[in-house]
Amino acid sequence: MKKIFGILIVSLTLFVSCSDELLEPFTPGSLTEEVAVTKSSDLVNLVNSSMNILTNRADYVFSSIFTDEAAPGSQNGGQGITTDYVFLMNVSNGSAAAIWQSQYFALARINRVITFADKVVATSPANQQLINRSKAEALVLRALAHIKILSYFSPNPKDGAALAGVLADRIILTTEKPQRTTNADFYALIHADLDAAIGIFNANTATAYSNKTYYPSKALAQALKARAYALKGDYPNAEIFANTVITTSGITLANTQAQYDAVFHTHNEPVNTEVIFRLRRTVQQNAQGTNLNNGWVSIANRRNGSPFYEVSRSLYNKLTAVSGDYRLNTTVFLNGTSSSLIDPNYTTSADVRNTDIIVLQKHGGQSAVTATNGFNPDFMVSRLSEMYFIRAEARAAAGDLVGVGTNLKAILDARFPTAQLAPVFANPQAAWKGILDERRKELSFEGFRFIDLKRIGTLAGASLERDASEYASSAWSFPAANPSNLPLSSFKFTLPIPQVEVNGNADIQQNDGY
Amino acid sequence: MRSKFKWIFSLLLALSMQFAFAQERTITGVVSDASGPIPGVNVLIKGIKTGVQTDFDGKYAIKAKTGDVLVFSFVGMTQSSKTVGASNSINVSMQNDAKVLAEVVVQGYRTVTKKKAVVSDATVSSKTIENRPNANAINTLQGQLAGVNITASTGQPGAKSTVVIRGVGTITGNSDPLYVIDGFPSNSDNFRSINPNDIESTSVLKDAAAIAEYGNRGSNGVIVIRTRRAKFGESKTTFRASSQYGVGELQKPKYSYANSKQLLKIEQNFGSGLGATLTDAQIAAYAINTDWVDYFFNQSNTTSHNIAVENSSQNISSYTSLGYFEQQGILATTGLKRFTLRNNINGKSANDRFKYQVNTSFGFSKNNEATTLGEGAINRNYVLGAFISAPYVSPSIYTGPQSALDYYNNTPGLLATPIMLVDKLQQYKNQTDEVRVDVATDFSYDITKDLVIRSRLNGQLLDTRFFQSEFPNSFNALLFQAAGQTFTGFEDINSRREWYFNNLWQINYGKTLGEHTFNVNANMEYNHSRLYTNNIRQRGLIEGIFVPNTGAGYAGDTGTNDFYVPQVSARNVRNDLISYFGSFDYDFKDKYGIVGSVRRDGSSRFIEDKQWGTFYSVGGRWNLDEEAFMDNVSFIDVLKLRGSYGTVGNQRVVTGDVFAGIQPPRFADIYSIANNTYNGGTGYAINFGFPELQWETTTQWNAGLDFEMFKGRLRGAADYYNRETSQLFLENPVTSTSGTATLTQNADVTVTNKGVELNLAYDIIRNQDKEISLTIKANGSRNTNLVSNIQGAGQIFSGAGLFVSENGGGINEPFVYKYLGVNPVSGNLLFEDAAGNPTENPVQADKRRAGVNNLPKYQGGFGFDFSIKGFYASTLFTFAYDVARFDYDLDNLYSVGNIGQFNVTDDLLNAWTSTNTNTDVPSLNAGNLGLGDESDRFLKDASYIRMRNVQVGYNVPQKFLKGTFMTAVSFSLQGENLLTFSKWKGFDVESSRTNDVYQYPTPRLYTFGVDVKF
Repeated sequence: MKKIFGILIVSLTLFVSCSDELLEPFTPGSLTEEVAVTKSSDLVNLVNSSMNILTNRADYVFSSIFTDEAAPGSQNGGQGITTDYVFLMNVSNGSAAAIWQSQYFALARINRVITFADKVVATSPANQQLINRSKAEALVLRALAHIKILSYFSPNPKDGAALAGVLADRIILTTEKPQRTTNADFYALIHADLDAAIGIFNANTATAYSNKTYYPSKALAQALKARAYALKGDYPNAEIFANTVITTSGITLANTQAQYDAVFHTHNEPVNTEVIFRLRRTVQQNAQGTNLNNGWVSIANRRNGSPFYEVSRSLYNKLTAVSGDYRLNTTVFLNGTSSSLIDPNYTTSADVRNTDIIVLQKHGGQSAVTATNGFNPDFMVSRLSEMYFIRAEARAAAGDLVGVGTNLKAILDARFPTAQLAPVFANPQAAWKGILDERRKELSFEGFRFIDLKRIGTLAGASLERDASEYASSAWSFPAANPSNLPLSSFKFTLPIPQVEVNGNADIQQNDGY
Repeated sequence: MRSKFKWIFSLLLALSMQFAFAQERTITGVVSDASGPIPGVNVLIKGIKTGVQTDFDGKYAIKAKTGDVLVFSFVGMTQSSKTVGASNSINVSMQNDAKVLAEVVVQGYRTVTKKKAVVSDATVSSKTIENRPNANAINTLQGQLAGVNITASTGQPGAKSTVVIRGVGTITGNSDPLYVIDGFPSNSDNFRSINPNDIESTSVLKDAAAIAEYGNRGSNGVIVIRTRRAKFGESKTTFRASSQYGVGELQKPKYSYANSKQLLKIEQNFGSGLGATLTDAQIAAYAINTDWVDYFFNQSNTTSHNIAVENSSQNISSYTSLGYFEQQGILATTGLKRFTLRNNINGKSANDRFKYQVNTSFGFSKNNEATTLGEGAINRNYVLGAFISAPYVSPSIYTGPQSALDYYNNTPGLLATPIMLVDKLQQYKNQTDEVRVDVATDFSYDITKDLVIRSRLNGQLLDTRFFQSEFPNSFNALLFQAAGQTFTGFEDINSRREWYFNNLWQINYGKTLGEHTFNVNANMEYNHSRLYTNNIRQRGLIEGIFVPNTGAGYAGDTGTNDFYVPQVSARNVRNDLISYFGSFDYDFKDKYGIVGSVRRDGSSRFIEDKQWGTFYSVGGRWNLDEEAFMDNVSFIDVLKLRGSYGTVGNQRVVTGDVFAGIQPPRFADIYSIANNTYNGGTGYAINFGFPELQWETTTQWNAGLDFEMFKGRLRGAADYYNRETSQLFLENPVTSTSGTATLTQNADVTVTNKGVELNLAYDIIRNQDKEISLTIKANGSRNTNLVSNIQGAGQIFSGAGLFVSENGGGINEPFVYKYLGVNPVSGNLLFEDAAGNPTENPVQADKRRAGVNNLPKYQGGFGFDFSIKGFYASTLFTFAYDVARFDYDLDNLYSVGNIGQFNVTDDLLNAWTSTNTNTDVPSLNAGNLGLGDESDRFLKDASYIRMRNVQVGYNVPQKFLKGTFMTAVSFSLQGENLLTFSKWKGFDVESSRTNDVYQYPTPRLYTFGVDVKF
């Protein structure tokens, strides 16, 4: 019996001594922060993840469906037709949640780059340049995300005292319950970040990227300053930075159909053409759930590609109003296998849903394919044409109607085979309307329309322009989708702080109307 | 089988005592059951401790006087009593099972007699498990165990069921119970490769004292499964063979589907789809009317064969069984085939000091499962095709993949959905092959009479190989073909190996000193779980060469594109648990007993000092019937009061399988490399962690009463319990500005489940002379689920705000607008605002929690067992009450977006129009239809009473078997799910999901069985 106890005690001891080892968590590949972020390539990893998260189609899709860019497609299986298309906007809205979360999820990574960039020790002077560049990129991305939050969630971006979102100027902990701050705070951070980034870019000697449009750059920082000033309504400053981009970036407008198509469909446009910044997608990232083109079609940018949203009739009519517009062919799939069906008698068609199918192909054209390792389009973020529009807006704000026409002509000349007459406006409102309409054609499906209507729609005396065939015909009968249900004065032009945020942050200030 | 040795000695001893009572006469008789005479039955006179046992032919002789009550008892059978009358002959027919109080009860790692148990017990014996046509043994337990809510959420053969014991104690953590097979706490909840006929009994441990010894994994309750074993005794070999044949069919819904003509008319009214292009006359003449439910759901067959051999001898005994089970699913392409082998060996040394047991089982199954259930994947989910395909589409359109593609290209909308799925039926295949090996061993050595050491060593290997192939040039392959892609289709081959290992060392000391009996033991346990997975996906299959699951016809990568690059992934996950625990057990005079235990548990899911948790339990009983003051209360035979209090821990941080939540770990912010994150470069995925992550603790107290009255006619138990979970695992919503929307953490939130359980059986007829018996039985529970201590706003939302856990309410109640109906003026939906007024445009503040959730407050089962001569009949009804779930299948039928491409309900003919204002169907173009999904419009009462099982059978009388090789023959006919009473309109009310959409309903089954012993 003694012997047995001896064995027991021995085995017990063995057991205890190895227990700590046995209970060691087995988590290969899982790095803690201290281990994960120690060198410049780690910062690059975080910048990459930030950009990956920002590559979110929610605002591109929402901005088109909630407004008048898109209309239900022939193969709509219920997508959005009882929500975004009929202006149903409340705290449960999925688009509002996706826009909010993608910005802030990215900001959480971006702020880690900015914080750790000052702690990571460079291995060489050249390595320090890489660290600096990551920080500059992060600063630009932080500004970009804040502009987006402010645009969608502030009731009045022009009012410095109005609320924007939560100011993410640092790493926010999961235990915090941050409140919203004012637009003024947002703008201050945006410009400070962009100025700091420009400062770093000016001094940076890291080897240039092979395609600079894939990464934040000095030109993007300047373009975002122009965009932010325009959003605030500070047009003198907006014009300064728009000018800077136009005159110093070396980028010029695409001025042939082939170039303009290349910008959107294949992304192999000549260097320094049109694009300031795009969020790059590779074939390895092809996934139905995240491809930009799959925001409107299930399979391909074709009539048989299961388009559940298509180009709205009103936008199509605008694009065809003056023949020769490159933007028509780039935006709408008109010639080829299973291309659009254009019904000239769409207003009287008994089944307009199936007789008038205007297939969107702006993102990825016919190259985009929903397949593993198939081509999927980049997300356009900033193009040079926007700078001309900002200049035009600045001219309109200054009462210089001729200047408006001059700047619009610069774009039109690039979008038609022949030089165009400068538009002439009788009064400022007409000028604003002219800018808004031209922006609509130029920037469609790129996530601008909703903000543009909110920003300058009232100045332009504009309203949503949906064609009755798409909400009041026998095939598409959605009385609630009548644009009269969404006047520009509607509170819905300010998105609600989404319920997903309120869930974890109950006291955050909600916008009016929700 | 029953113990047949020692009867000679007992008989002699009993006879020697008889002479003390001169005036007594000898009563003789035969004790038998349905299968014949029973040897070894204890026969005694009530109030006198001595008695006799029946001999090999079931005969007994006992001295008794008129008025004495003879008590007949045998393990596994109902105790039966007879009063001695004028006759000198008393024959007794004993009933299996229904007996409650002389059974053994599982109390942690040990079994004790029911009398000495301090815990509530719910056990189902083999009688009710064997030969039921359920591929999963757990499904069979439904409705038989008070306080145990078992739901088969899918009709997929072999799929696992959802088991909730005494309510869900966590909001987002895991609520699966622990499954213990032959003493092996295995973690695995997969039963598709286990033969239900090998199971001898299944017990559910619910209260603190019972689960204390499984404390590190038992917080959601423990299901203890014991497989059959042969007993020691004289050398003997018995055989048993049984076969079953069954058919299954779909349980039809109560939905009112539109037929072709109605659908076309609705389309015409709405102006969309084929109907919009037809005249009334054309619609009236439309001849095609396909029933897509019938197309995708079929009658299914079940076949099952079992043969078992029991071999007994003095020092070694074995149980060996072979089983084959094949069940087709009612949904096309689904099914399960299973082969099982079990060999359980018991042995002991000649001096009885060393005992061992080795239970080995081998199972092999092939499972064809439906994919993308519950999802709106129109080209993948057969159930979707069955439920909402347009009836005016004919399956004859399909003549091959290209025909499906052409039809898809040339029809409006998604009308081609059923044709795509018809293609998938031919052009897609999947199968899971599973090999399961279980070895459970137990070795013990009695060092002295009182001191025993024991070791248990258990291992389980689950090896699965899953493949699925989308054939080259199938519809889906063609649809997603890229420009320049020659070879289409793909094949996945996923290998998965799960390995569970458990080692227990125990030293036990037990002693009786006069009227005091005590038992104390100390234990160490190590538990290890390991998962390996290797997955490959080949893209690009060469038509004509490709053979599923062989690797033949795989296209290689080329320099021109990346279409054929295979994808690979692998995983290696480990979980370790170490426990030290001891327990103490004390009994005084069989009247009072207490048990206590304390344990210390470590888990590799946590770090540093958070790894270890300490848990304890105490329990006690008072056998009131042993008290002198009860002697006068003659109608009470047994009465026992018991209670327990204790804590148990839970380390399964998130829901999902046992490996969920381990990698990445949840105790720190974790950075892991993600490929192709941006422009081909890597990125860091960050999983935010909670450094304080630790054991979740459930504190439970339980009070219960076991009773047996009126000469054992009424038997039952009642329990009250209160389970309180603290340090609750929660996917806690946090501000998204932190970089995540939820954080897995221990929260200062309490979830309480309290309730009562009642288990009753009553013998209405118990006439052994005429061999008639009728027993009714019922069990039920009422569970109140309550959330409290939520800080701040007192609410935790989940599911994008559709569900809320709120202080004072249950967990995850729907958080919705109250739907009032249709506004007769506008045709829009009307909701109730916070002030109680109708509104078409409710705001967030108008939402409220529904006061009900997907977990029933009341649930249980009832039924009767009837037998007369050789015939028997039994039923089992199950019920659930005060439960509601979203019926999204119904929602779909009212979906306006579906008009023109899918089927809808004919109710839409009655939709509001300016001339049809008195209706409960909103206008087809109502502007606020989208709010319907945020309201309780489709939140439906899912209470039900279901006739879960009904059996009739015949045991062939012994006299017909004389002279044959057989000792018992029985035939049975049974039905499962024959009747359901419910307000629920959908296919299958029984589910624990919060909503039902495109799910695989459980079938109705009819089975014929033959059972032969020889």
